[in-house]
Amino acid sequence: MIRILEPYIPLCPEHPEQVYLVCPPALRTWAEQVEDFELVKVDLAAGEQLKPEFLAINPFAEIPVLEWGDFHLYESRAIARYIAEKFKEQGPENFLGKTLEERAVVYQWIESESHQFNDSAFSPWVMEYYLAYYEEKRPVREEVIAPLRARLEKFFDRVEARLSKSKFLAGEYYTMADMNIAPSLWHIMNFEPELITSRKHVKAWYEILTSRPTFKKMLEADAGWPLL
Amino acid sequence: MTLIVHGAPYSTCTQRILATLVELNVEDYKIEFVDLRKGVHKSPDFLKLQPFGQIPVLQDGDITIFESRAIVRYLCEKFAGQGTPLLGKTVKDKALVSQWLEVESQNYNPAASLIVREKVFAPRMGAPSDESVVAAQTPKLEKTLDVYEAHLAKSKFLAGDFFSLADLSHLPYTNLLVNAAGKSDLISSRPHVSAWWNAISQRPAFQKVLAMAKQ
Repeated sequence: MIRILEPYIPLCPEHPEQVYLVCPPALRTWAEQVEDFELVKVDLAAGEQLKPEFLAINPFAEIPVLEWGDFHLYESRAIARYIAEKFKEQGPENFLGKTLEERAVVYQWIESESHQFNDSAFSPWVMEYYLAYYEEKRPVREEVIAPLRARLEKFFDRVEARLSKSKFLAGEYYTMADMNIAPSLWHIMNFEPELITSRKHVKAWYEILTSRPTFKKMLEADAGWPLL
Repeated sequence: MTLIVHGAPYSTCTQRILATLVELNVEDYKIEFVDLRKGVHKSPDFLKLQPFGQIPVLQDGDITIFESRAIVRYLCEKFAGQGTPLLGKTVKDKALVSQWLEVESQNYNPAASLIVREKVFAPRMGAPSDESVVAAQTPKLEKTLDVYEAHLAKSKFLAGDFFSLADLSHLPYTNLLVNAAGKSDLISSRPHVSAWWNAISQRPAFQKVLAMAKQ
């Protein structure tokens, strides 16, 4: 039985470590391939991830973690790759590309999401929104958000240009590159929808990604997720 | 069919590619030098190759790939079976290599590259170093290195007892931290990290890349 250790967030304002929730939860969308898994909640507010039992499986004290018997794996993108390879007969066709060359392009967009989007823009941007709305109950600081928004705009301009030539990021098929970014796009629609809706191809792509049954299943699992 | 690496041998991310090519015993490639100092990477022609205006870029026949960590994965798959088995031998090996590649990318590189930018790149370009950035990033890198120290006490290399792409990915920036940024104490103060660094940096492939960087 595969177990995924993921955050339980009761949104208690006294615990700023809840910002861990911004880790891209690509994990639940890999339900594309695996049906038989169990979600185990890790209580971040209670500091469960800092306890020795958790540190023994992930010394970086981060979620998610995959547990399968004795085998443990952390880092959501590494987990997604492992699942894709282990269960490649199931799930979406060409999820990582059909040929070596297609795989290279999928990998390229996975890295672009990670570096040009997530680390440098989305992650600090969404953290500011969550801190403002849920932790500190204050307005968003425009001097923090403005440069991050500018980077997001730049990234989406490039994605818009890309999607004017191909249906999905890596080509004509839905791949892990699209999967990895989908949950973050949903957060963006929550806070600043015009980043997506003002771009014709990005908007159409967003609609396809979020109408996939597995994406909807992920949202149900998150019922009670605080929407504004 | 020749591989073309668009980049600069002195540049960290290009070195990730070059080290991989040498480890895989690939000789049929050429380097197309991109002169960053002249801003070639921001020119319209280059932006057609790489829309984010960054090096390196790999061209292999009809295909063009950017992002160094994607390029090196592609090379490992393309040349599987030759040279050093950088992705390990089993599906689990590969998963652990992926895990530590993500750790390098998410937990190590952000702090390391910001320190190197202030201590090495800024002076080279005649710009002032922002010591407040170094002061903010050093404790983060120390925290990560503490985890590495505990891990490397039990594991010869990051993903197991074999040298992998995960170890290799650390080479370019750590080399600058130790040999140019004045931050060698971060490594030398941690015995297992230090032993690991010596083992991976002394590999002939990386020594060859450093020699290429000097030309």
